[in-house]
Amino acid sequence: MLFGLPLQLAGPILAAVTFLTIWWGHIMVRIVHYYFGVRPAPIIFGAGLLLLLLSTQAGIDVVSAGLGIVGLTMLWDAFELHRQEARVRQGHAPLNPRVHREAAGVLAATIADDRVGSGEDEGGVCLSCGSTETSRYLCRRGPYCKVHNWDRYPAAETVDTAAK
Amino acid sequence: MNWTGIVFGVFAALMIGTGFMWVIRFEYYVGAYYWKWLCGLGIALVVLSAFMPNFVLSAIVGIIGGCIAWGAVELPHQQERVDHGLFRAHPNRANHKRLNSSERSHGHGSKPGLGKWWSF
Repeated sequence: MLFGLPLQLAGPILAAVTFLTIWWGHIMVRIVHYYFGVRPAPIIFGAGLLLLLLSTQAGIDVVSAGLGIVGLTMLWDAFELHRQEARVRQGHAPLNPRVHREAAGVLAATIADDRVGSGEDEGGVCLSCGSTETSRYLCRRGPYCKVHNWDRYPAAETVDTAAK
Repeated sequence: MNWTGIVFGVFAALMIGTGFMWVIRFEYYVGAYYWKWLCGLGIALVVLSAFMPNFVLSAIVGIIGGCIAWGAVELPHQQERVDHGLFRAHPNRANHKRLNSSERSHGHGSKPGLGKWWSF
């Protein structure tokens, strides 16, 4: 009871569960993908289904909802492993050469490709994604793209609006 | 058979999916500078959820609050992603208020996506 009102603790508890699940889901996807690649995806999917099954058998609503949130997030994370694989192939996420052999080959080919054509796309239209200096789209060259102008916001010259 | 878990699991997944979209759009149109206001809004919703009349309303408001708080802490990282060209930059972005990136530069280092193991 607070100010004469009955407190519903379910809301704050489920908010914390949601927040922590998203946070640790991000971390788990990165760690699992780094060490095992996409192979554990069916295991994570199965674990998520198991948690959902458990949630249907729980007697307490808060416990059931918590298990449901974690379970469904794990179903999502199984697919997220494959999206992480795509990020590794673009050079946006850490590559483990012992595990991500295919991705290493793709990335090496991309970088070699860039070296060959490196003189062609300075200051024009990116040959890979078609973006110009003012229109930036997802580019498979990632940090290696010349047109994207990575030094546009150098840390030293950034306007410090917080200090004003 | 307790459907509570599956119903709120689906609801949370939908809210997380919506979060992906509004974080991108908020960074595009407004900028990551105001992330603390959004974080405050999320926390306020979580506190409000404790005073809801029943379980269902409390859970809905709580989950929405948690997702908004999450999206708020994701905004500085979205700013870095746009800096690195992974997402479209607003044509007038140079005139938007900007977070000092050195202030929160623990995020992704020189390349996007390469955070510390514990970072968002």
